[in-house]
Amino acid sequence: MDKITHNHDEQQRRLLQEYIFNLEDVQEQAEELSAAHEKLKQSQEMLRAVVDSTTHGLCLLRNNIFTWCNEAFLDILGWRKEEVIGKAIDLIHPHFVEDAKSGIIFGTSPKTMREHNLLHKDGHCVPCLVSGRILQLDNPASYILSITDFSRRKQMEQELRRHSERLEEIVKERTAKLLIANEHLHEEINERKWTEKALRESEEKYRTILQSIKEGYFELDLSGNIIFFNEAACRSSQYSTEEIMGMHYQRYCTTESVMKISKMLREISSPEKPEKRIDFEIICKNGKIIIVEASVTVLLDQVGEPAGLRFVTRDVTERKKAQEEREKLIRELREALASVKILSGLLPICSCCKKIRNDEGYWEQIESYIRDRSDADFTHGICPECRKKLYPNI
Amino acid sequence: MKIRKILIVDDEQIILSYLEKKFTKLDYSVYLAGDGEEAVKQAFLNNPDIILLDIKLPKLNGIDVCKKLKADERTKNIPILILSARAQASEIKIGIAAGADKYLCKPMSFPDILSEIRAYDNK
Repeated sequence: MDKITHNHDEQQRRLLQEYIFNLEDVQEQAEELSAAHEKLKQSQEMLRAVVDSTTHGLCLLRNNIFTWCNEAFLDILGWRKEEVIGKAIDLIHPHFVEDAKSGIIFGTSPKTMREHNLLHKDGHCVPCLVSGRILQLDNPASYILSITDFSRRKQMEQELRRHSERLEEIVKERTAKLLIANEHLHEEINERKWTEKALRESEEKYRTILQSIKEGYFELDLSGNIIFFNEAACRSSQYSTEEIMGMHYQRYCTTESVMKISKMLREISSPEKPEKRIDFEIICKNGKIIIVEASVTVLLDQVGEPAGLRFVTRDVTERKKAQEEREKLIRELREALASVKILSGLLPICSCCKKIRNDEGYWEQIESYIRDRSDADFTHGICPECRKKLYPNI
Repeated sequence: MKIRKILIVDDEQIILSYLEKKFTKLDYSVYLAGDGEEAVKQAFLNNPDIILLDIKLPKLNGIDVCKKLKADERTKNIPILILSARAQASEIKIGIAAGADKYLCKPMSFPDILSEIRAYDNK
């Protein structure tokens, strides 16, 4: 009896063990199923959220009849849900079925999108990008369509195209203008180059002339400092080029000349223009004073404002000396001439009264005429012939 | 050392399958034997970290398997947990005498079995 009970207990325990394991297994499967269900639910919610929030219109079709669509689909085409569900595809696209058959809608990839004009409820066409995908798991006649309204994008594209064309025109215009401007610029540059070259040559020429002439040449700035000079200016003053550069005119001019030049410098900016020619005296390095005759012009800066004076000088010391000597001689001669009164030449005399016609054409008594033009004077008497004639009785 | 390799010995296919599935899920390496001879063979071959052994087995019963393994130098240190439907004190005594480290009586839930196995971690 004990043995039977024992075996029965063992058997019971074995069965119970199997039952427990089975139960655990089922429980585990149930938990897994529940987890999978939860996951599916979450996934479904997520999918719904995506479908509801997307701006892409989505719809499901079975045998070309709408079975489902999202809000975006209705927004794009202006329909209400109840107006779409159960209706055929030609509600939005009369030739869609043909297009689907020809494979225009269903590309090899769902990313393949085609442009279609879909019918809006109010009758106008909405340009859309459409992609389709057959739901193979379900039925070949079932497919999902995704539509994207790109009318706004199209408008923007047109706008962009217009802007782009306008931009191109502007660029063309600007390029043309730029080319012209560039040509002008080239011409100007060439002209300027030519002018500069001519200027350089001219400057060189004048520099050479300036350095080779006998006349001294120097320029003073408004303060009276020498800012430019030629070799002749150095030679005549006997100062070296280093000494003369920047030297103030008061250092090498006599007091009288300083006054003359300072007056000219003052007059530069005044309406009264300075004299064009002056004579002044230069104190040479060795102390010798030379007289120069100068031609003076106003030195202008780049904007045409007076910047100083330019002098072209000629040493006239010798000439002045000669002139002074000549004048002295003339003066002396005049004095001598004034003291010696000699009558000479033909004198028109009246053969009757003996009056003489003077330079003014008047007839003058011979006494006064001779008295005025000589040192002789008269003492009056009567000669014997006249006495006999006038006083026969005496 | 953590227990990673388990040899499960039972003549009931349902039990073997279930325990294999559960332990595999927990990343254990599981070896199965449906009779006593196979159990000894697997023990020598795979050198498991622990053995879950039923007593009522074909060819060689669990007590003999236990004795044989505990007598062999290669397997004597492997902990052997007897999991049997024989739950009488005398039977438990025989099992312990044969060298089993623990005697577990059926029915047991998997969490309980797992907890017994984990008790040998780092031993």
